[in-house]
Amino acid sequence: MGRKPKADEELVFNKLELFRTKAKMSRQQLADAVNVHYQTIGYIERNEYSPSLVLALRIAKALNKKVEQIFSLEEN
Amino acid sequence: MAFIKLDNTSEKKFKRWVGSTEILLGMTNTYARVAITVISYLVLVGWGFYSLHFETAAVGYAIALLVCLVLQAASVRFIFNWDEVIDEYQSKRRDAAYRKAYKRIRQIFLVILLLWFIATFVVGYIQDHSGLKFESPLYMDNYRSVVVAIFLAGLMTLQKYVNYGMKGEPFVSVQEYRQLRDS
Repeated sequence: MGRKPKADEELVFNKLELFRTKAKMSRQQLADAVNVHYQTIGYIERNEYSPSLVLALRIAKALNKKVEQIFSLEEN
Repeated sequence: MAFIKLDNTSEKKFKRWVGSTEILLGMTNTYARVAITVISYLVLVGWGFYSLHFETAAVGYAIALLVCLVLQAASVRFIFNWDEVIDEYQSKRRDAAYRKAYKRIRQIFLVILLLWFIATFVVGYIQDHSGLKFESPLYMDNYRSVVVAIFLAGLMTLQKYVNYGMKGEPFVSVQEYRQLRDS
């Protein structure tokens, strides 16, 4: 019963910070582009939050990358 | 904001501004959230207890609780109040807070009922030998009923803020905040 404990939730790894800085975008600029709070970008970059598919697609579009280039199930 | 009716665009702009303004920095960090929560509980229980025994204190009690709830709302940048400007992370965290708050309220009421039942059993069967009589253990008059109603309303409203979690925004200066945002 209830939700999975946080430790059991599957993490999605990402290279968001790398691609964002390469694109010379600040957190705020990317946040504005994908319509979220700038701290949400920070939570995603630190792997503290796994974005929804829609948000992942929006981020990929804003950075002109494919989703799988930014997000993955394995840390690499 | 019921008393200032802005048109749709201005209202959204204002809410978005509140969602990121540096003015609220002192209230939204983890330390401030812990302090506001401790103060809220002290007011809820301490002032509530005082109000039960000293008539005329109830108005001050209600106002103090209201102030605490506004502080709580500001410390989470009003995400429980403004659905239309929160993003998916905030929305998920808010929904989790509602779920936990519901469970906590259920537990609180079960404990109150259990304590009342035990008190009734002890008085009815062990002390008076008169059987079960579900009388109010607080022997409440109208004034005390109002105080208890204020307490329960405050307790229930507070739960969503407490169960949102104490983790707030980073404890940073305005310059550091701008650096985090713009880097």
